[in-house]
Amino acid sequence: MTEDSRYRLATRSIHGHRLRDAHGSPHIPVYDTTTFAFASTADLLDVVDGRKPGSFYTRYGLNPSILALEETLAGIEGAEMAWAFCSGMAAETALFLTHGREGVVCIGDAYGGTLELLAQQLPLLGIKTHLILGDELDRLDALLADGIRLVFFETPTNPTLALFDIRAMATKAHAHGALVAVDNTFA
Amino acid sequence: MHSATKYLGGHSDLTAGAMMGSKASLGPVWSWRKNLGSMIAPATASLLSRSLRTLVVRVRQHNAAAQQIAEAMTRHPKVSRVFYPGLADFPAHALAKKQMHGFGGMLTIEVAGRREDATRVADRLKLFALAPSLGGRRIIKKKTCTTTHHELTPAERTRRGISDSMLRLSVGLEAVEDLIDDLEQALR
Repeated sequence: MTEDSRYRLATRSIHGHRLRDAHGSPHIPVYDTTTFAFASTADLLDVVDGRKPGSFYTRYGLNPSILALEETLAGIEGAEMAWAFCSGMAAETALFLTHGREGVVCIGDAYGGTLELLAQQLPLLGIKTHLILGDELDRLDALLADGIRLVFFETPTNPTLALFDIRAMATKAHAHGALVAVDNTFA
Repeated sequence: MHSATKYLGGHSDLTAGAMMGSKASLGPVWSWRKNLGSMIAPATASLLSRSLRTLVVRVRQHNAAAQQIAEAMTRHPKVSRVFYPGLADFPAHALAKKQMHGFGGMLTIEVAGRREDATRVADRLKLFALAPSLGGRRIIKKKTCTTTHHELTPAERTRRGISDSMLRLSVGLEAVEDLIDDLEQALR
């Protein structure tokens, strides 16, 4: 979260990052730049080794346009940090590959692309995925006890706008040491 | 998690995704994103930052318009069911009030009659575009059985409570009176 987390949502969405443009632009302009030059090897190593913040290489996300966006996204959500991706499915793929390798349980209905990734593609990599519906929540305890480490759901869901209690679901999953990821695209 | 293509972008002109969370959970995602090469483009990032500055006022209007449309559709004789968290008789209305800041701009209506009747309504709408995606300033309608859930078998769709007569509406920022008029002429 940014230092401006005391502000309300609408204010955080406008004043959400601390980057200052060198030429005084009130917002960070587009840095259509693949790489960033340094005055010395020492300066380059400071950024590479994480001793100083700075831009470095766009594919790494170390680009002012991306860094400003991510700080704003984190502030809007009240989160410690945010990553931006080239699509929502790219974000989900990175999530599942990072945190879903011990198995994923998806609760309720989900976007068709998400269901295809979970039901057909991740199993090709040996990742166990379980799709349970909202009226099958009694299966969740057994799956968590079995070592599933990621619980994923949408709320509201597509297309029946079904809701899940995020806090209750997180309490249950965290008790088993599992993470919870929620797709909030719908609202 | 967000598909930022939808409400965060809000203008149907960018494709992006977002993940927000703790440092402990997001830290290890960094290397996967880097090596999958799924970084957002700087121009898209800038466009998305532009969109976020109007997020709150856009969503406020989406919420208000969707509530009005949901209530109007509840009263309509040709609509057999309305799915919208802001309706008092919606099954999870109490949870929606507790968990959500607003009830959202998405609603689904079930057209009374046969599947062909829903198709006819979808094709007669003028302001609602028949398309996938949602959350833009223009309203978008979508037949759920032919778009997002097309790959499911009819039995699986039934199991998930998805009927062939459902139209999912993404309420845009047009004048809500014009949207209700459009729905009423299509349902006539």
